[in-house]
Amino acid sequence: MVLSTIVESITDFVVQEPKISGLIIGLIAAAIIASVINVGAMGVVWLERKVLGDMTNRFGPCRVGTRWGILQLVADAIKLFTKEDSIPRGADRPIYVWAPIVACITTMLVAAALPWGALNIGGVVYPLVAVNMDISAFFVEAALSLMAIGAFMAGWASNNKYSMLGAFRGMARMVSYEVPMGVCVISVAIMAHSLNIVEIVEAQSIWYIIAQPLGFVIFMIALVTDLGRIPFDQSEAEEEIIAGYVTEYGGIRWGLLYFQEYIIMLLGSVLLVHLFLGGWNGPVIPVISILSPMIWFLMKMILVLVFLIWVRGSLVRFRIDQVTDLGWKWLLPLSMVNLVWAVAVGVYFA
Amino acid sequence: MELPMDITQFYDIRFLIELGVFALFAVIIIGLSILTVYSRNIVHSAFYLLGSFAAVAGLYISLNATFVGVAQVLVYIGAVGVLMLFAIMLTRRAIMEESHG
Repeated sequence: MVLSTIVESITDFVVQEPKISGLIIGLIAAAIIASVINVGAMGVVWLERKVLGDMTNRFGPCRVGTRWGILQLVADAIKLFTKEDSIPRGADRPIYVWAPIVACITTMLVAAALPWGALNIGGVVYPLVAVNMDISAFFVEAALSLMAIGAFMAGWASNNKYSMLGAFRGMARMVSYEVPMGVCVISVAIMAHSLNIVEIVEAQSIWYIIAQPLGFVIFMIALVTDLGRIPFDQSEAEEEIIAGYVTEYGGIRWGLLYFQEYIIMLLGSVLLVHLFLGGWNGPVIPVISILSPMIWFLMKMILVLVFLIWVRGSLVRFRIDQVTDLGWKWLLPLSMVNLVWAVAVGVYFA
Repeated sequence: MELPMDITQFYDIRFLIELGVFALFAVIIIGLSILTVYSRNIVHSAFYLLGSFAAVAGLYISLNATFVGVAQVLVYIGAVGVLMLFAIMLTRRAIMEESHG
């Protein structure tokens, strides 16, 4: 009786004040998204350490929390939080402090517009997305372009030539790969007749990895570059420039900068799944039909993550000039070809 | 007596929220613009300018022009801002020496 009164009054409030209730719902969704991406990224770090361990014939984490070391990341986080917070004397204090914050804002912006799976309730698929915008693919692209700023702030403020070199390399790399990546997103949007990621997923009766394989390959390479992972990790090449733009950071500030790379890796694989691998589309699993879109989504996401880790474990680092060459001379023209292909055949897949 | 405008709208909470958000963004934009002009360090100026661009994007979004707001982020912060930082870094060496002791 009391419960139904509460539900009724909440429903009344939502109907009467759509803007204010939207604000409240948005705040709740932001809190949920923040915890999901952070816990998810901890899982990604654990997965990477385990899979890389396997690839190099080691155990990976195996002491803290059962024999699979699942609590290793919690232990690491506690260690980072309790370390002394030191700032180098020559550093530019405000920018040094703001760099990890800007990096975190970027990742949160990307996460806000991405759907995190879907639930199949009574035959209707409800996507789980914090903000269902009409232009979410465009928004994600814009938010991804902010990543260079955080890295640059960290590198410049540290007052260290290796940090500066790392920041330069990171910026040159991200600027050159933002363009082919954006063109690939545009090709997908043209084929789906929508910039809304939810509608792009719903439009994929044929996955876009089959409809535009070239676009998939280009997007994959651009994604790995944007994430700054091994064939393209010139901005923190350990053997050349210590640790690049994070050299002068320590404690939890370093933890945040390092962790946001893994959050971006998680978000990037989610974006890839939605744009090219059909998102949560897949045959309905009989008994647990309510969870079946979620299961398909998570399976594809973990597949992409393992692929990214596999690439990191197998390849070696390029030089920075080779990277920019590849971006401007090969990927950009090829992404234009893919755009023309998407326009030409898009009619048949729509 | 007929008032020129309906003053009861000032007591409406929704109107007040909108006004507050607008005032917040306006103050941020103006403050950061002034800092951009008066800052001694040119790299700090660039970052202040990026901040004011971000606040302009927020203003657009609060006016229900989402696409313009996101385009502002992509074009001005993501492209023009990064280009400006690059240009500052690559042109004058004295800047680095001045701020990086």
